[in-house]
Amino acid sequence: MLEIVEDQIAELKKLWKNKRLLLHQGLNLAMIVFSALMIWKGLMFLTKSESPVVVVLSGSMEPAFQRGDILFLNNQANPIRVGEVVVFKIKDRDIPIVHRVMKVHEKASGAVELLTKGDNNRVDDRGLYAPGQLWLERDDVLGRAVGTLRYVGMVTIILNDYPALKYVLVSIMGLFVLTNKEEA
Amino acid sequence: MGKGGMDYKGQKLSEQIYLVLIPAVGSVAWVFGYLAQDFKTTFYGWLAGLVLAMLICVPDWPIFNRNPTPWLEEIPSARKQTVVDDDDEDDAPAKATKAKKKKGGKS
Amino acid sequence: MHTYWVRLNAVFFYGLNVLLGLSCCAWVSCLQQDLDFHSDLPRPVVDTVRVNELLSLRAHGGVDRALLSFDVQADLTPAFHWNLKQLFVFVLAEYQTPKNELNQVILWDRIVETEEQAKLDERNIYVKYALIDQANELRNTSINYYLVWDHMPVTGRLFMDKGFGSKKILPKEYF
Repeated sequence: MLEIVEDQIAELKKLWKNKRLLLHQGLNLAMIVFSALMIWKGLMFLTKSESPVVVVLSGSMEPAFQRGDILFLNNQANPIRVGEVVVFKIKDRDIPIVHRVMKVHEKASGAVELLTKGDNNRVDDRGLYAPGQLWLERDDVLGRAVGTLRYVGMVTIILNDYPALKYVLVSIMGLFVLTNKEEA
Repeated sequence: MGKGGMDYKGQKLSEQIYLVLIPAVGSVAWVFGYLAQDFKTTFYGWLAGLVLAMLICVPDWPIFNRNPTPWLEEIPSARKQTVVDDDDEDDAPAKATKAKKKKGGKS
Repeated sequence: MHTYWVRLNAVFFYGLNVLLGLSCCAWVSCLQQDLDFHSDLPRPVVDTVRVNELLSLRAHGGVDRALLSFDVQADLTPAFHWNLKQLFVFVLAEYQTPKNELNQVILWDRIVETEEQAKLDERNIYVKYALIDQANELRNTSINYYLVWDHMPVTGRLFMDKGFGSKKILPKEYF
């Protein structure tokens, strides 16, 4: 383990000495970051949603969505109907929630009031809303779920959830390296 | 450590193996999943393929080191210079150090 | 020569992309059934969704609330395929009031995870969620009852399908 770290440090030192290579690597990294940002912003524009792709973080929608499932959101202007899964954010709270719309009351003006509930929860979401808030409005909704992707996201959340697993993986690899060197 | 004892040909071979292996196992798993009408079958098949590819392609098995790059013979005087010139930004001494490392590994 | 990390990373993310491809293939393999495109596959059928008995209609703090029981008969098995995790099935009451152009309230729901459970034959079941209006405008209101099912796929698009059940007018007086 330590040798690997030392090796990495040596690599970094070498990089620091060679300014041209350092610049090249830096530019490479910047390109990756900026193209990711570009794709994200492009999706934001297309879907009119603040966060077009979200990862499900809680089990309140099981078995429809497990933790780690990836959802694609769309927030275009068409009206929200009952049964749809929406992602909403309560004012002054950071984490958006993915739940299903259970009630829709739409005025003639188009203003709409919604009540949501998680499939796996026993009661509706009024307890989660801001104190005194009875209904969600259109502006609270970040988007409706239009598409889903299961296993691909699951793998990433497994690694995120159990950092220990990462270390197990690493040590197995390390072992391989050691034994292999001795054979050769 | 941290550098694979793979030669260039071995590296290419290992790359080709996983590029073919994962989709091949995945496709078979997909067909099985389709016949069983269960996507979990496909997922576990894919997982098995991935683990297999990792076991085969990530460690530097001897099979990937059958065509070691022939390094130039070490020149005794160059070695001395390496030590002296180590802080230089020149490429030549760096190469010399690498050659030294390689030799050490083989013995 | 690549380090182990570079190789492990390459294999893993290549593998993830392959999984993404497999998932998309699974989605495509079910598209014909989902879209009912030139297929002679059977379609889901909704036989009945109707009020069996109205138990009460009262105002609670200025808000009307109706309790009722109903019958549901439907066969949703044709909606199932290997890319479907579950159907979210619910009974929907839809109506119009002076205050709201459109009111949609879920009265009952069920998560159907297997094809065997997708044949619904429920008689005289009690609502899970009461029919509660936003104001006191339920009396003498005509209500449409639907059965709606939301497809929750493993990969792909979420979409709903709906079958009309019945229409019934609530009584003119509280009871």
